[in-house]
This record gives sequence, C-alpha cells and structure tokens, in this order.
Amino acid sequence: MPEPTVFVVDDEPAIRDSLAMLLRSVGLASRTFPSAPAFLEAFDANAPGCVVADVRMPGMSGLELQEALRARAARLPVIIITGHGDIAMAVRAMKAGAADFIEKPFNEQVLLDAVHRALAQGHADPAPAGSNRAEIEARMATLTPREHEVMLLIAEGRPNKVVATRLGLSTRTVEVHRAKVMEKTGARSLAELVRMAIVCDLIAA
Amino acid sequence: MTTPANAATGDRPAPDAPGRAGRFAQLAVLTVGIAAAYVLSAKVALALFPATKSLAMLWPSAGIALAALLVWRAPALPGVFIGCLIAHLTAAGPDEGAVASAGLTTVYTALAWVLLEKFARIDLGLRRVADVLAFAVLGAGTVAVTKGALRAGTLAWSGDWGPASGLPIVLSALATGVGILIVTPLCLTLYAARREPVPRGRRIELALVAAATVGVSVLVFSARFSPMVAVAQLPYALFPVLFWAGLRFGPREVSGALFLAAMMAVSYTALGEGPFAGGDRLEGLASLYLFLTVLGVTSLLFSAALRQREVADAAVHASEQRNRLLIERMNEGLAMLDAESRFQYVSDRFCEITGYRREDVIGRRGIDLVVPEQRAQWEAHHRLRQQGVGDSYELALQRGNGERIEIHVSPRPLFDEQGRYTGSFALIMDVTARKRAEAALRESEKQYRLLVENQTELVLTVGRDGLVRFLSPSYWQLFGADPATAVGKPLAFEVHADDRDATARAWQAAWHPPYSASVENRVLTAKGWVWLAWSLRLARDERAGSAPDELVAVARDVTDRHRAEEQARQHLQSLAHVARVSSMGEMASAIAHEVNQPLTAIANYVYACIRLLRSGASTTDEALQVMQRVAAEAERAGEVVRKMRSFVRGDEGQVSAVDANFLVAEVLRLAAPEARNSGVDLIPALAGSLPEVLADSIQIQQVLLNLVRNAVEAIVAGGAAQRIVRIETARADPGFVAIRVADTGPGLPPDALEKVFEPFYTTKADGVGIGLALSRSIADAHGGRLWATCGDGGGATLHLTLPTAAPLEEADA
Repeated sequence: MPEPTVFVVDDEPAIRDSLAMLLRSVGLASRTFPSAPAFLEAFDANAPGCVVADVRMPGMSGLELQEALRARAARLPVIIITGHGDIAMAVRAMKAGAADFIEKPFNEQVLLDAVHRALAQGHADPAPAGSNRAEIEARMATLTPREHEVMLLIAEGRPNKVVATRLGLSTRTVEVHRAKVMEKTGARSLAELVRMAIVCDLIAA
Repeated sequence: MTTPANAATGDRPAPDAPGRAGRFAQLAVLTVGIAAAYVLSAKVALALFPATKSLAMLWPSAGIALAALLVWRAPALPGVFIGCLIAHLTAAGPDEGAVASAGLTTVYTALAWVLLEKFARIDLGLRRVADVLAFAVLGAGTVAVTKGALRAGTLAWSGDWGPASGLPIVLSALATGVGILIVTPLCLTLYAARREPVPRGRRIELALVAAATVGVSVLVFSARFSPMVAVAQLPYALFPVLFWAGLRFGPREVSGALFLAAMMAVSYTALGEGPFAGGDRLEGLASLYLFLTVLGVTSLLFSAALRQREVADAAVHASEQRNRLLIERMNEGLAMLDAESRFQYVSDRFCEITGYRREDVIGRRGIDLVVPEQRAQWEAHHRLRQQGVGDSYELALQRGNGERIEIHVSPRPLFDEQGRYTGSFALIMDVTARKRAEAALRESEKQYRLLVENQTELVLTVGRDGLVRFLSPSYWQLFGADPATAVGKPLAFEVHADDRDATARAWQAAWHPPYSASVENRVLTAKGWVWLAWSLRLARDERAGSAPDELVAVARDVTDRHRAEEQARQHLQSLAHVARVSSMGEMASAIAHEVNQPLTAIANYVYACIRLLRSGASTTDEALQVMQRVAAEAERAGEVVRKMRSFVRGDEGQVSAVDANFLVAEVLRLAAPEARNSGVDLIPALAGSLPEVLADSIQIQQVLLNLVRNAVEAIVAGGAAQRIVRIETARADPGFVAIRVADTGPGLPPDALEKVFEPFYTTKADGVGIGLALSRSIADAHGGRLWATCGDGGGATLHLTLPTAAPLEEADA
C-alpha cells in the first residue's frame, strides 16, 4: 500500500509551499497543485490520502473540486480552507460531504489534527464522523428549545447577527446561546457542530 | 295787501307810505281829480243828452264815482262827495238840498262798492262771468234801486209826492244804473289792463273794431239812414261788432266799444233820431235803457266767458304740457290700457324700451308683447289688476326686433264711479341689464360656493383682530367640527411645537409687503397630525381706498407628500448607509483576505520550522531559507497595509476649507432617522463663529457618521437609561477645531481606549473592527487626531481634531 499523500490545492504559492513544509515537518507526504483542474488531471483514484483545498480559487473553487471528486466516486476526504466570512460556504462544503473545514488564519495544530483525522477516516473507510450517533443525539437533547434553534441556524452557517435577527434576540444573547451549544454538544469547532447536525439528520447533508 | 279779500280784488294801487304831508297831497290830488271827472262828465252828459234840465239821459258820473271807489277805495270818498256836491250846486234847476243829495249819492255808491268788494270780491278786470254778473246786479242794480228808493222816500217824507213824481224818479234811477253799466267797466278794465297794451300788430284790427262800432252805431241810430231805421230791431246789429271785440280782444275792448255805442245811441236819441226817439219819449227812453243793459251785460258776459275759458284752457294746456314733459322725460315707459288691456296710449320711452313704434302697439293687447312662456303669468297679473291689486312684478317681453328684454312693471288699475274696471296704466322699466348682472352674480356666487364648498383645501379668512371671519366647509373634514362654531373666534387648532415659530412668522409676514407668505406645518386634526401647506395673502378689497384688513389662508393637506418625501429621504439614507457599510465591509473583507494570506503562510512556515528544528530534521540552511520566505511574506503583509493607507489618502485632492458645524449638521441629518429608530437623542452643541477647517468633506463626514453610529450602537447595546449622543464643536489647540462625540453607553475600559483604534479590534458582537482604525488613519491623513476618552458621566467620548484653514491667523488671534 502506497504511503498516504496530502494533496494541497491552493492558488497562492506561499500557502502551498508553507503548507507542504508544515506537513513535511510532521512527516506527512504532500503534493501541491496550483489549481483544481491541475490536481484532477494528476488524480489517481487509487492513491490514498486526503485533499486540502482553498475554497476560493480562480477557475474552479474548492467546492467544485469536491463535487468533481464525488462525481468520480472518489472517496478521498476533502478539507476545505476558508477565508474570513466564508462560513456559509464551508457549511455547504460540509453538507456536500467535506471531511472538515478550517478558517484562515489557522492554528497549525488544528490543521494537522484535521489532516490526521481525514487520513484515518480514509483508511477506515467512510465511517460517519463523530461515530456514535446515539451519543450525539443524547447531547443534542440537552439543548433548550432556544439553544436548539440557535444551533440549527449556526450549523447552517448563519452569522450571529443573522441568527439574532431571525430569532428576535440581541447578538450578545445569541453569542451566549452559541457558547452553551458548543459546550453541551462538545463540538470543538463549528465544523464539528455542522458534522454532528448532519449525523443526527438535523440538517440535510 | 295779502289778505284774502285784497288778493281776490286784484291789483289796486298800493298805499305808499310817504310822509303825512305827502299823503295829504296825494289825497288832495285824488279828491280834485275825482271831483273834476265827476263834474266834467255830468256837464258833458247834460250838454249832450239832457233828459230834463237837471237830469241827463245817461248819468256817467255815477259810473266814474263807483269806479273811483273800487279802484282807490275810501280815499276816493271825498272826491266823490265833492264832485257830486259841485254838480248839484251848479245844476241849472233849483235843487232842494245839494248837500243832502250829494251825501246820499256818496252813500249808495259806497254801498255798491262795499258790496262788490267785500261780498262779491270782484276782479276789476271783469274777466270772469261771476264778476260781470256781480257788477251788473250788485253794482249797477244796487245803485239804481237805492237811488230810486231814496228819492221816492225823500219826496214822500217831504210830502211833495205827486202822481207825476214816479216816472222821473224811475228814469233818474235807470239813467244812473245804465251810466254805471256803461262807464264803470271801461274805467275798471282800462285800469286793470293798464299794463297790457294792445300788441302793435292788432292795433289795426282794434281800429277796425272801433270804426265798425261807430259805423254801425251811425247806421243804426242816425236819422240819415231813416229808411233803414224803420226796422226797430236794427240796433241789435251792434251785437256782432261787440262779440268781435270780445272774441278777438278782451273785456277792455268790449267795454270801450260798448261805451262808444252807448254814447252814440244816447246822443242820437237826444237829438231825436234813431229807433228810440220816435213816438212816446218815455217809452223810447225805457227801450234805450233796456237795449243798453242787454247789450252791455251780454257783451261783457260774453267776453268774460271767453276769457275765462281761455284761462282755463291755458291752465289745462299748461298742465298737460307739464304732464307730457314729465311722461316723456321719465326713465320709465308709460302705457295706458283699456278694460280689454289694449294699448290706448304709450309714451315715447315705452316705444324706446320695447322697440315698437307707437302705431304698431296702439290697439294691440298687452299680452301680445309678452314672451310666450310668461303669458300665463301675465294673465294672472291681469286678473289681479281687475280686482284692484296693483302690485308690481317683473316680466320678459319680446322686443320689436325679436330680442328678449326683462322689464319691471308697476301697474295701477283704474275704475269708474260705478266701480267697473276701465283699464290700467303701467310704468315699465328696462331691467334686462340688472337681471343679467344679477344672474351673472348668482352664477359666479354659485361657482364660487361650489369651489369653496367642494374643495378639500381649507379656506379661511382672519381679520386683523385675529378672529376668524370665514371657514370653508372642509373644516368639517379636517377637524370634525362645524365651521360655524369657529367663526368669530381666534384660530383654535394645535400646531406642532417644532412648527410654531415658522407658522407665527409667516402669519406676521403676510400683513406686510408683499402681503403674501407660505408655510408648512403640522396641525393636530381629527385624524392626528397632518402636514398642511399654507398659502397666506391679504384679501384685495375691490372697494377703492379701503385698506385690506383680512387675511385669506388656504391650506392643503400635504401629509402624503411629506410621507413620501420622508420615505424617499430614508431610502436614500439607507442606500447611502448600505453603500458606506458595504464599501467599508468590502474593504475590510478584502484587507482581511489580503492580510490573511501572508499571515497564514508566515504561521505555517514558522510552525513548520519550529517542528523541523525541534526534531532536528532540518538544517540551518533550510531554516534560513524558510526565514527568508517568512520575511518576504511579512513584507507582503506590510505592503497590504501600505496599500490600504494610500487608498485612504487617495482623495486628498478634494480637501477644502469647510465649516465644521456644517459637516456636523449634515451628519446629524443623515444619522437622525437611525437614532430616532433606536430611541437615542442626538444633541448638537455647536460653537458659534468657528474658523473653517481643511478637510475632505466626504471623508470627514464618513468618520463622523462612523463615530455617531458607534455611539448610538453602544447605547443600544448597553441598554442605558439615558440615551443621548452629544456632538460638540469647539476651538481646540491653536489652529485646530475639535469635534467631540460623547455617548451615554457603557463606556470603554481604560485599556481599550487605544485598542479600539487597532485594526480588527471590536467591542461589537458583529463588528469588523476596522471603522475606528480607518477613521484614525483618515484623521491622521488630514493632519488631525482621533482619540477616545472616558466620558464624565460614563460612556465614551471620541475626539476628532482638524487643522483650521488659516492656522497662522488662528495663532495670532
């Protein structure tokens, strides 16, 4: 079995280069591509690994790349990197089956954890993330109705301000609810929360 | 002279008021004159036609005496008495008592005078039949009868009465009576008509009359034409001559002709000639007297009757003339209609008004002139007239040329003595113009009323006293109250406090040139606050010279317009807001992305480097390479920030000298709707007479708007009880103007006072954290400063200073 490879797709050379170096520093093999079409061209369905792609790229976006991979029945996990304010797009990516999403600028550990998870997932075949659905549902059940409402909107990628307007609450209150939701569900990131919501069929995948 | 008695007796000489001597002299002259005339006439009569030695066939002196008394009255008495006395004394025959006889003569003559003057009130001109009859009976008759009776009485008393005494007395009485009848009229008429000389053109005819009188008299009374004289009735040939005189002239000329004829008749008879001379002498004399009496009375009566008729005719004529003049000069047309209401008479003015010629109208029925649709009405009025009702009415007539005219008719029904309707007369007046004017006025009034009553605009007039004089019915719609209740009182509706000053100013201004003003204000009506647009002007009074004392105010409901304007303004503002926010947001996003890339790369390199160095997997060379890349990425990040700053400075070219107060006012206007929605009051505290600042208006307004908006949002987020944002302008350090925005929000912790200006630092839940950083860079770019302090009563205060346009002058000041 060949060594799993991290395929880095980003239009920014500095990001590609620095990511590759970061991955190498933890002993992960990586290949970099300046665009989604370049990656697809070199794509080998049998090569194990995962994809780290910027959501915003000229020509073909990360989301489109993800869809293209799905279309080829590739089971390569995809990690989406988003810029500031692209949460909604990241959520869409999650729903589309992305393994994870990471906001720029990111803590290197967060990225590396996500990559490791994705690689592990790729090995163990697509087992649903967060694995234990019953456990997640039990945690979800501890949410108050208001927190549940807030959770649903957050998981859809709505900014706090929009959530506040939708529910007739102040932004500050929404923030308090959001913190409660993260605490009760044990989600460490928004991506995790979205994944949990998808697992429990609370939002359409 | 103005007593009724005197007035009726005509013009007698006015007794002058000379001195005593003068009056005596006058009396003497009068007395001598009358006496002389009396004696002279007596002598002439006795000489010409003596009946006996002391008696003439005609006694003219008696006539002169009566005439003298009638003309001069009492002052004539001495003359009469003296003349009579002299005549008696100088008579040929023996006289029993001259004094007694003269006294008696004076008494009965005076009696006749008194009777004529006091009872008959005779006119000396003998112009009336009544005067002639009175003169004949009371004058001549009285004297004759009295004289005869007195003579007979005297004889009987003295016992001298004999069988032969009667006849001479009767003859003497008759001679006196006829003497009066013939002579007195001539004297009186000559006197009365002394100022009416015979016109020059008629003198020939008068001479002819005189000649005819003489001629006929000669023919009738002289013996030379005896064959003709044989006819006893021939003297009556004098009648035509006297009637001629009467017809063509007057009583004076008749009296003259009568006198002439009588003298000749008596003279010829005395000579034994003529119809009265032959046969029995006494019988002849009696016939002569009878003839003269008949001739005299008849011709005098005839001329008086003619004269009287003439005078009456002249009076009637004059009155007719007056009436016709009146009728024709009248502005009203006059028509007389008979019982069948046919025109009998119409005046010229009537023809003028109706446009018909007189001959076209006479004989036609009044109804024929009435326009067909009003004939029934005319019939009704006609029936009323027959019942004696003469009310005036108005009617339309068809004029001769087909035109229609409106007339005002004042009818007067006429009835005969039996109370039968005999017709009517009617005055008509052309009122077409008036009716037309009335109709026009009515129409214009109607139009005006329609206009005022049906318009939704409020129309009102207010006097100088501030009291309402008129209110249009639309007052109802607006205030739900009867306009009538508001008239005569001051205007009572409530004006919005913000609009009161402007309203009062406009109402004041309208009283002064150019006498018009307009204002828009909010008024509390039945349906709440309503925007009214007022147009005020002084009422122009059409009466010349009268000062206008009424203000006409027209108010239109412009609430909808205001609402639309407000919406448009808010829309525009929200657009501007969106544009600003989005441009800021976009900029922030772009900056974030631009800065993110190098930061992410730097972080990756550094972390990778750390791991590699820790694990010892990396060489120093490799690490150095990575560090070079890190430095390059850091420079890239710095480049992004530089680009951002130059973007902010990009509009420096538009810097100009502006009024900071103006900038603040503009910003307040923009921020007001949002502040109002958030329940926050924006209170400006602007310093007067600030020096102008050097600024890019749009950028500084953006900064100020950002500050104000932050302040409002801080208050809303903090939920403070007091929700005020104070915006002050003031002079700051020399050469600077400070603008301060102070809020009553939760304020800033001391350590955040500087942090807020760092990029991407925000205390707002959804803030980008770039507004204040940008604002500060803008302030710096202007050469000013932006910093934050804690407010005195909590909250935060942001200070912006900007350099003035003329810093040197400021420094000097």
